Amino acid sequence: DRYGFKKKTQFVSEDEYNQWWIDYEVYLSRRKKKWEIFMKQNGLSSYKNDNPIRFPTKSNKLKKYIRKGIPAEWRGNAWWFYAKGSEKLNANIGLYDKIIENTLNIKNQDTEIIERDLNRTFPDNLYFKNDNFLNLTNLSTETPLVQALRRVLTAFAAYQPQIGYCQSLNFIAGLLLIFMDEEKSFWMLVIITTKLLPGVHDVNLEGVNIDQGVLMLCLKEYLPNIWEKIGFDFNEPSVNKQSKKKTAEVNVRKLPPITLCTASWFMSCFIGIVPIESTLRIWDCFFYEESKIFIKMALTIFKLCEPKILKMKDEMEVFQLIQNYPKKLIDVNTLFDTCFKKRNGYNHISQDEINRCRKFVKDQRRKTNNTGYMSSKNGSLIENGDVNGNESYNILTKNEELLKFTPEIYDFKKNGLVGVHWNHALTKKMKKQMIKRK
Amino acid sequence: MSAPRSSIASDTPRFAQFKLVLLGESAVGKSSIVHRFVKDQFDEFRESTIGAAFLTQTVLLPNNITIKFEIWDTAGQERYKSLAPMYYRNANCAIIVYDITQESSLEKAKQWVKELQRQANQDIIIALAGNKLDLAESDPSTRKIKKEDAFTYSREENLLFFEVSAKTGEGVKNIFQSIAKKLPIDDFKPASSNANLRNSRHNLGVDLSRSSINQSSCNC
Repeated sequence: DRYGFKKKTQFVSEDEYNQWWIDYEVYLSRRKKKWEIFMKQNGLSSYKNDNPIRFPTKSNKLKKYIRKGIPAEWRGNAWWFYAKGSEKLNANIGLYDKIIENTLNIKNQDTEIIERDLNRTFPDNLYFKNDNFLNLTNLSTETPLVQALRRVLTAFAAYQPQIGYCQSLNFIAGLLLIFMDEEKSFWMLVIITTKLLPGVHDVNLEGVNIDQGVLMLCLKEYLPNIWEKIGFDFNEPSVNKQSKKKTAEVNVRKLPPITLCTASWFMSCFIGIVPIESTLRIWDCFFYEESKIFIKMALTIFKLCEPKILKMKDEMEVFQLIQNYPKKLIDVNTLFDTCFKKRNGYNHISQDEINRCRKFVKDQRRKTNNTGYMSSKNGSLIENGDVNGNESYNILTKNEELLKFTPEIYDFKKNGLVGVHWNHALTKKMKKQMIKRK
Repeated sequence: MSAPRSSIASDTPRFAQFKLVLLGESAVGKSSIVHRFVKDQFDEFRESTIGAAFLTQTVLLPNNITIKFEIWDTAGQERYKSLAPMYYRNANCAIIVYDITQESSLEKAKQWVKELQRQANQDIIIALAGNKLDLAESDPSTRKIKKEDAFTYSREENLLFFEVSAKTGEGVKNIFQSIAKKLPIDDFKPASSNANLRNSRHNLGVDLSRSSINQSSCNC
């Protein structure tokens, strides 16, 4: 395709791709024209080599435009602009070159794994493809982008020792390099891993566990039927006094197995999770609206799978569905329409809400860790529970401290009730009243 | 499956599923081995695995026994190690992979063996697989780990041992076949309910149609 990727994948045939592309190509040129007009209205010219470096400031109209896709030729610049890349760069002029110089011949654990991953980053992409694989040791067969990828990842590992090199960064940096130069890619990597997805790539992967806790809380709140299916067996049910119905609370220390799958969505920023055009559209929103797009997109994938999930009996069937289904989502416009549909229930989640929820999960996890659980023989190994829940339960019962722990309930802010912490019983009453009033 | 349980003869069709986990250092070829086993394909460069992938594949044994493997293919990087117990707990079998052209990878494999022996099911069947045999065959100087050394170690630790090539396919099926033969199929009682199925992931007598459903849904 135009980014150097193969059209055909294991999950999408070339016919399917071409079929989709016929309409999508028309859509793209229509969007491009609209963007050009929009830029002009904002006093910004896009005509100099079709390479604008400034973009409109935040507005509802802009949000709408971004959600419909930034023109591919402008993407690199637009991402850089909205992620405030130049602020980082200007505060650290020359630093990247200096790190490169200092890490030129460095060899450590990180560089060893980076070397192994260089040829395993988009091996089918034109810009990364190593055709001459018989000559592995010969550097001259490497494409310029592979060489740039090595420098960016090595420099990053040195600059952010609390992260070092984490598999999945190779894909993020790789995709950035297709759209912008090396130095900018480096700083974008810093912004993604520290500001947008804090802790997700850290050595202990705590950030990604936190975000899975957030996602599970959102599932329970917005897609409760699915939560009942995937969460019930793994978390202590609590009885709602009013309805007498049992519901599983989200226990952020014992995440259900499905999070083993969804964790990779966050780590790789949806690269390889959905077809590339969908990934790029998600990234358009990511740099403008921050990480809430990941939660919303994850919820959308679950929602699209909901009819199938509810029919499934076996949790591993659900796991396979959630693992494989997104790879087939070639029709990016339908995906986005579902994601931002007004009444899907989760469309209104704000970044503040996500951040608040992250903090809640973080505190909850920290509390349970303080019970001495983490220092037990199995360390952090058990904290997520296991696929069957049996053995971890045995270990749990040995630890009396833990039995005292009951997960607290997180309350989502409801539309129109911003700023008030309602408990569930109250919000239900409120809802009923609202319905009556209508 | 209409045969009554009491009359399980050696040729009665039987079905069992087992959980298998692949462990080993990064880039030794875990995903390639699974890919060869499940799809019978090989790519010179596979994308690195982030987190883990779940796949299934069935193996036919003599005596009309069908075994379905539920395979967890894990990421090799050290920091993913904290997730590993989620995969290997309750696993019936494990394949620990090393790269015969990478000296350090056997050390890492030995660490995994130790961890499994300490933490996993007591009766877990562990296979040690030295991958990239094709490299050593085309250029013997690339071999860094002697077959005898790994074999001796395997015997001491009571592991199944193989040298394989995911690229040529040599030996790959054999790992899974050999594991399948060692699995205690006769010990398992038929599943009586769904709850039972969920709690123990290895069941005898599960509806045979399940295997076809899962196979078709496995596209990776």
